[in-house]
Amino acid sequence: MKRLWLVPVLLFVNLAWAVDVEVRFTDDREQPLRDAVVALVPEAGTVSTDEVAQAVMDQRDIRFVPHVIAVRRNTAVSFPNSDNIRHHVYSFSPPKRFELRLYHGTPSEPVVFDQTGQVVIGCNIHDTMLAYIYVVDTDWFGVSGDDGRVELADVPPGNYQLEIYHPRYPEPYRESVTLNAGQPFSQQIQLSPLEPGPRERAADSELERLFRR
Amino acid sequence: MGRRYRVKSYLVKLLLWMLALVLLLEASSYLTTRVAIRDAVTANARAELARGGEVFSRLMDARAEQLALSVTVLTDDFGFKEAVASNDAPTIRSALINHAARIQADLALVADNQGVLVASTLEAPSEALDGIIARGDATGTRYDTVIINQRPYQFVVSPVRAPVRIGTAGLGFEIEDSLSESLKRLTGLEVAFVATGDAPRYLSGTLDQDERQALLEHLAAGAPEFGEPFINREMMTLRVPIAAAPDSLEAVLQVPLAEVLAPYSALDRQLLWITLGFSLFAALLAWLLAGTVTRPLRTLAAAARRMAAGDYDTPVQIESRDEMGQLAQGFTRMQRAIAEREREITFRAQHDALTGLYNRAQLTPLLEAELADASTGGVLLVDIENFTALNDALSPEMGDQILVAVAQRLKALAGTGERVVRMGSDEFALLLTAADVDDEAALANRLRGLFLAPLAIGELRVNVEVKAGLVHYPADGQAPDALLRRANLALQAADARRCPICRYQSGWDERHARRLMVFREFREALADGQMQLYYQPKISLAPPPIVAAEALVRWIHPREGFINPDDFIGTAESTGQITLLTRWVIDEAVGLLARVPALHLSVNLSAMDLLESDFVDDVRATLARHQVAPERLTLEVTESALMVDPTQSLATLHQLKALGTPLSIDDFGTGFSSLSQLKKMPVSELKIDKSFVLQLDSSDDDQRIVRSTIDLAHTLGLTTTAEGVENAGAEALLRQWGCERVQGFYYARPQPEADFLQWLQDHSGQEK
Repeated sequence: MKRLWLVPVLLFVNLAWAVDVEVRFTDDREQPLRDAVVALVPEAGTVSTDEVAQAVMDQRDIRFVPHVIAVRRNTAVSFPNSDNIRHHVYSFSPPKRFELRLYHGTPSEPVVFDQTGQVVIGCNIHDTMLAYIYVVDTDWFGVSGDDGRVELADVPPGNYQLEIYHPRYPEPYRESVTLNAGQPFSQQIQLSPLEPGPRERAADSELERLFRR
Repeated sequence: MGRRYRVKSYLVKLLLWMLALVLLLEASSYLTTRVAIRDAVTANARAELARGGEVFSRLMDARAEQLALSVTVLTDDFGFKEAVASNDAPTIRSALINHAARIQADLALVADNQGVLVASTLEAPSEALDGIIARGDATGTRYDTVIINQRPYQFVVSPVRAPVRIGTAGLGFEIEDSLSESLKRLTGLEVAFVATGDAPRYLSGTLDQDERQALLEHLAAGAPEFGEPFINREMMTLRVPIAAAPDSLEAVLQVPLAEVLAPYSALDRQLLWITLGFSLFAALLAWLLAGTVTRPLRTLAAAARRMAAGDYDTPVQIESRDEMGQLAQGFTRMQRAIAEREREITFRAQHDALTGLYNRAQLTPLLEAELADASTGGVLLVDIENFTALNDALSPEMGDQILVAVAQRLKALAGTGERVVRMGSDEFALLLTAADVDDEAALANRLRGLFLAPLAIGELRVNVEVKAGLVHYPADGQAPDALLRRANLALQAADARRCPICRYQSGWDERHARRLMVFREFREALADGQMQLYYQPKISLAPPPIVAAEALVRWIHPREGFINPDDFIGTAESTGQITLLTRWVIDEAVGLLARVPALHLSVNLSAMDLLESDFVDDVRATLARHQVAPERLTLEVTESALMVDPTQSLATLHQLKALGTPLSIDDFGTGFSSLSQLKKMPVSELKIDKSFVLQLDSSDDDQRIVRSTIDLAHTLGLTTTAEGVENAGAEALLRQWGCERVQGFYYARPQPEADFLQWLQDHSGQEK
């Protein structure tokens, strides 16, 4: 049974127009949780998305850096290869299936993500390389850092869908929230339970193989 | 075991026991060795089977690993991942078939992350796979053995990652007979895969139809635990679990017992031959050993039988120097000792220890031998005169020496010691030839001549006289006991007559027999009234006239008739029965005195009576009972009555005198009493023996004796009675010499009471 606790805390009234939003993530053990994605999708009116934004998913030391990024729809993400070996970056995720065959350096064309959703990025040569790109349809989004916090500044007041994603939290979470002018919005969210990380899982299974002998 | 089968021979018994022992030992060692080897072989086989099971499990695992590896290679294939990620079932299915063919999998399937089958080469989904797919979902690559459509499969499940898991691929590899065959080659075991559910089902393996059937039946009947080898129908069997759920599957590994025991049976045969060989050898040894024991035993037994039969001369023939040889020597020594002892015992039994002569018991056989030869000869029974006195005077040892010396001399008379027998203390019997005995006088001379020279006993010279009784045979008897008895009578006669040698005369034996009869029948004769008192009147020649008589006892035997008092008085005296007779006589006589007033009676006493302590009291009591005055009962004693115990006898006489009964000396003149003795006796009368009176009128000697006796009596103050007066001449002489009373046939014979009373009546008042 997956559960989500939302703990709204109303601190004080700010008379300014814009609203500062802060979401704090913790894991099962109430430790700050990184790589959690927050997106505030306005319920009324759409955000102009024709403009192509830019994002980068670097590959360094046989890893994708960063591990998780969130991008606005229609963002062109480039996959520069900082390693001196080749990588074969691919994704079979429905929002964006693509394949960047063995290459050095930065490929000529960045990949444009025009569908919202989770895109799992892998390397065909290095099974352990794994990255997540969450494509959202809003300008207000962020990824939690090591302190588990996401801060969104100057969000216009109004009604929003608060969307939350995490690679180890399989169900996307959506909630309607209202941002009142002058009232900072702060929320603490515990994601529980979290699935084990794929790398850990891979390690486990190797271990298990040994045990099974 | 019945009595019939009891074994008699020690050899057979020993042999049987030894054989039984050997066979028991051999059989037990054979059996235990056999069992031990069989156990060891079987245990070894079990261990090998267990190891085989281990190898089998490893091989199965190794194959699964290999399969898993190839499956992993498959799921890592980018094209395959791409196909799975396409989510297009026909595409995925075609990719599955394609890739399964590459790794020769028999089954292939793909499931999504929710465990839902996306594509499968199976016609219908199998429940057996649900569990394994679900488990594969949580973990990495896994493998398991499952039964699908009645076939066993090794099934490998591996996740498909792109790069995160997008589904699960499962590939199955059927466990075919070819796998079993290769496992069999590797492990050397028969392999069978069996589904064990409600009913065991053979899936694959190396067994033929019959073995399959047997195995299934055994499993259905309930088999032992896994991992524990057991034996089923000549097969050693091990169950190895392969899968438990949802269908339990196991491998059954088997090795034929025959194969396991093949080396053992060769060993077993060798062992059996060795055992049989040893048994035979041991039996032979036992037979030889038993022989060495029993052969000498048989020889000894034969020797013992010979000895029992009295053969002491054959030595026991055992030459060996072992215990048996020693035993045989012991037997021979014992045999000699027994023979010697037997000779000695026989000699002692037949001979007198002192003189070395034959003993009394040998006389009868000697005599019998003589009599059987129908030869004539005699038995001389010799007695040493006064030997008792000699013995007392010297010493018993010297007495013995005398006996030895006498025996020596008697041997000279008989010619050889073989014919001299020692009969008793001082009595010897000699068997004499006819020539010896025919001339009795010469024999007497020779006998006397033997003892003319005194015997040299140590430093003493002892003179010895002998008396002898002689019988001739067969003239004096044909039976040894009769001859001996008669020789004894002759010896007694010689003793009585004081002659050195006396031959038996016919009639003695009869008299002796009569005396024996008297001795036996005396007491009852007394009780039965066979005894009677006869009375012989005593006539008074001088005043005062007294009516008197002597009471004389008579025995009228119902069979023998009248028995002479001389024949029984002597016997009664020698046996002591005389005292009974005397009391009876006194009782009778006093009874008559009580009935006939003024009568006086004389009764004869014996020397024995005077020695009876209560005699006087008895006489007094009798007189008192009949109220008869003592003066009327005269008691007569002979001179010799005082010879035995003069002191006691005299005391009794004085008591009788005090009682008042007159005492008389009977048969005066025949004894050897001295005058001093006569003087001591408190008597009042002398009775002159009839031997002096019978021919008184014609014998001057008798007249002188009688007359001087009467004078002597008168001098001593005694009256006299003369016995045996038979004619008037004698009476006249006696009357002339002053003899007071007479008795004899001239006046009256002794007569029974009735006749005597009649006689009294006839002569009352008539005085001569």
